[in-house]
Amino acid sequence: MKKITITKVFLFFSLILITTNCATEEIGSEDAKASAKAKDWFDNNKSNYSETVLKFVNEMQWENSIVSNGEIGEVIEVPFTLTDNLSTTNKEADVFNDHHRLMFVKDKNEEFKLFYVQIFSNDKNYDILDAHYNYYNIKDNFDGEIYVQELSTKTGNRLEFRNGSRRTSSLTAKMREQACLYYGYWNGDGSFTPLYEVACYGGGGGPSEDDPRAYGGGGGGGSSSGGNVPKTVSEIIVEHINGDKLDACTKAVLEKLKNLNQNDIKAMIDRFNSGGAAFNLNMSTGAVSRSINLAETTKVSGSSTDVNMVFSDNYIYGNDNINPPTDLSVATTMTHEIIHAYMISQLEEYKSGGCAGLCDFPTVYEAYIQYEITKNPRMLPETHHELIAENYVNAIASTIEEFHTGQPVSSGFPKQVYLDMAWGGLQDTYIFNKTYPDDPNHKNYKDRERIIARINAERLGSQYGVNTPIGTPCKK
Amino acid sequence: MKHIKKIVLIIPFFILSCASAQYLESYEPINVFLDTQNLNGPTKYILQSDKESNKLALRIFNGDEGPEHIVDPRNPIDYTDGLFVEKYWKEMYQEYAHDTVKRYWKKEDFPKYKFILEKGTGLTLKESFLRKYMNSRIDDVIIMSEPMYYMDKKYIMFYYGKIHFDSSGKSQVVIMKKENNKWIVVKIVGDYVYN
Repeated sequence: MKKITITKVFLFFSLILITTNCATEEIGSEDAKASAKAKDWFDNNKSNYSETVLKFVNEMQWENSIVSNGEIGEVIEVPFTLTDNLSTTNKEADVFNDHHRLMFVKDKNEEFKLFYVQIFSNDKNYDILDAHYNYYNIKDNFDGEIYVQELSTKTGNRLEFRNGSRRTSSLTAKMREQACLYYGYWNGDGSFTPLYEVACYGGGGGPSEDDPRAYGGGGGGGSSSGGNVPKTVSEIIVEHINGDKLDACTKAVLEKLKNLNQNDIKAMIDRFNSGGAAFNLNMSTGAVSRSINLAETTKVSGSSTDVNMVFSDNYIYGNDNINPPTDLSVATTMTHEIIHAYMISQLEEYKSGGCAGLCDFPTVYEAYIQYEITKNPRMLPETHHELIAENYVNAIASTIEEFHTGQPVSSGFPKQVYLDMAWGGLQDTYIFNKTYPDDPNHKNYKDRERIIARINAERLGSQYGVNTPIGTPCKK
Repeated sequence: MKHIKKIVLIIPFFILSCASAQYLESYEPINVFLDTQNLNGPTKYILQSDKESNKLALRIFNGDEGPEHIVDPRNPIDYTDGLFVEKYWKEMYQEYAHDTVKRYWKKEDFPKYKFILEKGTGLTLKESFLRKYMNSRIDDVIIMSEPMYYMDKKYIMFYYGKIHFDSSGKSQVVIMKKENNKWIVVKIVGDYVYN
């Protein structure tokens, strides 16, 4: 009896052992399958995503995939490193020890949704690669911040943890603020040199518990209204426009351009596509270096992120003239200069090591190469004008038409008067002189005269030939 | 006696401090340059009779305002083909940057050209100017600065702008030297400012 009992116990434990081992192997195999499926999907679909992060993925560590299951289904997290030993932090450079994962979540249709997870641990020795640290299970001793971005919708969420517990917005005002993350390099003195903006998070109400952006379950983000949508470069530029040193008229034009409903500056710059870097645009009204210029835009020496834009005080105040220019003239000049600023930022981004910026500006890229070969700094300003003349006259016209009428140009065909205005500053371009040659015998010569007269009428804020200004004169 | 000594010491100081920047005696090099610009056709051009400030030419040559020469470490292109030499740049800047004496071009300076001279600066922003030339088929203004010596008088440089009434156009610094008794253009450096 005793023998039988001992044999039974031995067999029972053996069975348990075998079963457990088999089960363990079974789970490992399932994880590998899930990871392989995610990899296949990623390899086939990554070209559909244009987000900054995917341009900087150095090595996907598929062998370290972390697979977990729960309320929202199967979640596969794949750690990766950034190219060129880049690091990430926020504007204040007070989040550290960055870790990066791409997170694959299957939706109801068995299709993957792709998320970018950035984990910052306060403890630099924290073992982020621990498989128990996953979407469903934030370890009890975790102190730090997690940023989750859904790559297809560009929506994100920011979460802060202390001892493994998520802090809510009511606990900290910091959570209510928007936080932007940057790729760049830590310096020896503890400062950080940002090179590319990844995205901005927070500020609004967090996603629901069952939203993958609520990493670890539950909301996060901020408490105030507004989205927690990572921003495109265009939006960042708009937010980084400092117009404190503008005169009242130009400042009012800027505010109006920023707030147009459809064809506003944001949309216009978005149309030029986005890259990933953050740029500061410092606008002012004052003396320009060439007295005939209405405005000048330059890259700040030694900076890869700052652009200065000066509106000539003689132009804005209409010095020596009866009237100052109309707001329509100023809006046209500003739109033209903002395109310059954006293209400068694109080139700077390219020079900082990213190809992203110039993918949409092959002409500027070619000009940059020519500039390197010919060493002619004028190459770039001239090229900008040719590029604007070829591609953006319609966009400028649509923008200023909405600025003036309050009605977006839904047809895609702005009215002639705004198209005429949009040629301002482009009279030296090949396309302008080809279309409207300075030849009284040419069929388009009358158009040339009309365009120049319209530009001058708005610039002078008074009747010029048969043209009466349609914009509102700025106040002297 | 003491006073006389002081005066004797002070006079040379004043003479030196009042010494003005050195300029060319003839505008031959500018005329040589203009001959390359196709300005002798039927189109008429306005010449801004106020000579452009030296500072504009200096800014374009240096790549920035002021005397400091900042090279972008990510893009260290020498757009002057080696013509920028710190020692000579500093000398030129010191001599010419602060010369604010108003000077004017005369028709006789450019005998081959039928320029229409107009006084003032920022002409294309002025109502009186724009009205004067409305429907005239004239819509370019030539703007030039006084040529400055550079590198122990080996080179001269000046600003040249050919600007449309809408403010677009050429804006550059022309660097020339005399070789075999003839003036030649060594380098044209374009402006980096977007407008």
